[in-house]
Amino acid sequence: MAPRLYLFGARSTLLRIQPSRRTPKSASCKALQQRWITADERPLPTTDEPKGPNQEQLPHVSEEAAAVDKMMGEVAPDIGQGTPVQDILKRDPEGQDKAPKVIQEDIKKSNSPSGSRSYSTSARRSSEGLQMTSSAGEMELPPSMTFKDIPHEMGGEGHKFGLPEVPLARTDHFKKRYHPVVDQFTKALMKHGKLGAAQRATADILNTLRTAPPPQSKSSKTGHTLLPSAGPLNLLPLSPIQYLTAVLDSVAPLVKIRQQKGLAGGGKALPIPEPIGVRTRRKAAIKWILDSASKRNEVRLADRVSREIINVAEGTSSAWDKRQIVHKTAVAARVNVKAMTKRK
Amino acid sequence: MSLSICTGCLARLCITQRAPSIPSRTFSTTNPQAGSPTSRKIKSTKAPYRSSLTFNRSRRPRVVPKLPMIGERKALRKRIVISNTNALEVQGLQDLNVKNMVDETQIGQMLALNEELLDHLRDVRAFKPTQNWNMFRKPSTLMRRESVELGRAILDVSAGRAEERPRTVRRIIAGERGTGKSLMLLQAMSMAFLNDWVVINVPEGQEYTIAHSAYAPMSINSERQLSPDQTAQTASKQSQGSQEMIYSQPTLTAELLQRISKSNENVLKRIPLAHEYKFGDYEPKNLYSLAVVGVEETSLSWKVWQTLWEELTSPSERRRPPVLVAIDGIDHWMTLSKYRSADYKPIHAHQLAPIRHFVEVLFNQNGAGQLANGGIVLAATTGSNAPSVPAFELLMKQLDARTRGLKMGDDGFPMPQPYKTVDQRVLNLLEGSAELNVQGLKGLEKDVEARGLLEYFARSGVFREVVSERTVAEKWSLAGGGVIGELARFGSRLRV
Repeated sequence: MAPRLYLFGARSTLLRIQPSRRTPKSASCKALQQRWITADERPLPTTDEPKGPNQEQLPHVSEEAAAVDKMMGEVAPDIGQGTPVQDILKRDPEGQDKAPKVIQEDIKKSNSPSGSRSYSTSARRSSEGLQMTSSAGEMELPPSMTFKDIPHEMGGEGHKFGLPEVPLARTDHFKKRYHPVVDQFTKALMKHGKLGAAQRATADILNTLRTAPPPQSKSSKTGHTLLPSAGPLNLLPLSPIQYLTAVLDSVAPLVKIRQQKGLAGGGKALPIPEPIGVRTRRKAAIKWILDSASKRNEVRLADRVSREIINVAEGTSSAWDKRQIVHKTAVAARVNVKAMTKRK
Repeated sequence: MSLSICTGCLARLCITQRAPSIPSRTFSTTNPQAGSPTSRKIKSTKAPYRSSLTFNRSRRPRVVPKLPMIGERKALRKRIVISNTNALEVQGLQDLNVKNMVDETQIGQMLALNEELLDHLRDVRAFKPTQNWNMFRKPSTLMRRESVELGRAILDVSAGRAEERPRTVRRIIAGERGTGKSLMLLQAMSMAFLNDWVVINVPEGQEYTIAHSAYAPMSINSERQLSPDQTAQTASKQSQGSQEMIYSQPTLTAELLQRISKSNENVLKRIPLAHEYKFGDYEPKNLYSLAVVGVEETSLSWKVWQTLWEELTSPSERRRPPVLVAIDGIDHWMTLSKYRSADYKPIHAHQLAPIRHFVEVLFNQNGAGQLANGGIVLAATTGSNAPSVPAFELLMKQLDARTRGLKMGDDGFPMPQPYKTVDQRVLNLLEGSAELNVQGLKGLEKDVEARGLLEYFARSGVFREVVSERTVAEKWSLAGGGVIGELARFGSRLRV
């Protein structure tokens, strides 16, 4: 029987050498690959164009060393020529430990760069040219200062516009930028997936709530009032979202009736009242309001719904009756809650 | 292959009364004769394929939704409410008056429009349904730098009238959508009413070109003949002038006269006529009764309008007030209208008499723009409903170049592309319109004007955030650099 796996057979694709992970090249490496002017040392043309992200990098180690030496009053290395690795390592005791063994031995043998080439294989730009292109208009920070220490009247430490206040508000999230009640109401209003139309209708509804005369309570006749947390009715139009929230929360049922099969016997369903969360309560309220709004005669949907919301606030909407029916059934069926728990 | 019959045979064919004999079909066993009509049809007891078997459904009457009354929806759409009693009253809100309309310290402040002014503005149709007047307790407008400058122009013209050196200001207000062009017209009208001017307003230029109202051919200017030595350009202009038919729009003119008579009633009633006129049975005594003739007799409206304009703008010994002409949506007047001629050719907007008249006044064609008693002619372009009119765009660029000091033939003066046909009627308007300039409206200033607007929103209870430098800068940036329409939307947006 032939082996299942032909490692070196025709299907050579099984063995594929993974390409090594690309490491970001340092600026000096990149600079070496570029073509520089070698024949006559003309300075490169400079442009006023904005610099790219990978331009104006930190200077080459040799140049940095030259600058440091110049500041310290020491003899600077000749940056007209390329610096051998050994020279760089000489100044870097940490790098010496990580250097290849050959170089380590070389350093040990003699401190003089006897093993390096006497000529350079790379042609570098003259230092003047480099200076011209680098650090144009860049803010030079004193060495004792970090970016964190930049003062700014608006921002805190080192931030141009300051940090946002934590914890972030719920509406700071892009997908939750609307008030939860408004969002739920809009989505319930939506037909055929036309969210934009629903949003326009909601905006019109809230505008109507803002501009219509404040609701006149008819609770003496009907007995239905808004929750006391809604505040005085004549102030509701000033904050339409609170108006809508108060209406929905007031007319929302506290429980729902679940028809449980198989408990009553004889194929009859047993009604069991169940407490529901705030979102589900509001969902029922929105449904009742939209149902009774659809029976109204106003031309625009926004007018029908907003009139119905005002009616709820006044206590005359049929949504209140639906709420009462649910609550009465729940009271009648509350004995079944026990039956359900017994079963468990 | 040749046909077996010829046309001659067909011509000789005689149609007889006798019924054609029914050919017997040898291969069919069915009766070729139709059944007698008296024979009863046998009803099939089987239900048709895939139809409902319930009986109740068919008996239930179909619910037909009641359609709204004719015009109800449009009335809803065009309804203008200019006050909201629920909004908070802004304390210390000043009314717009003759003094503060030129006061530079009022820049960035909201100024309310008083009751009398509101009536006038309503009658002249200065308010638009897209503006948010229904959010606030009292209708007020923001004083911008441009508004104060406009107020100064109005006072200048008034002063010139008093010193017997009448001045006419002609201006086109251009700008992007929501930059407050129509509101600038409204402010101009309010200031003109405050100074007892006569205000003539065309609230929507599009109404004149969409062929929704009556029109009739008026006259043919066929007297002028072409001379051979005329240049090509002038020849084409002449030929246009010599052959074209002018159409009157009696209903629209009557509506215009109604707006004028209703809103300027007090001023017009004070002015007696310079000459005597007789229109049928009507013998008007003053300018108001003259305008009313055109309202009552629609067929006379164009003649009445011409007379009224003549009376208002001709030099007279008696003192006549300056005139403000405000036109909104001038773009629609620079292209073909939706009206058709008797040959079913589209009629150019400039062939419609009211449009022609106002365009001549605005661009000072044939000296029509010289108002003997002084006045301002303001036109605004439309930002939201602009038709694509390359000729007018070019004309606006040319006007703009001219205000920058360039002349026709200079380097950089915009010219039509050589191989494109551009509406010459529109381009020819450049000649003669030397004093006409274009005012480009941009966004509000951030620190003064935008802040003033948002503070007013906050004090009315509409904007429910703290008005700080940060929020003002945020809304200003979101509103595209303080575009006032957008800023008003952000100011009234409901947040948590």
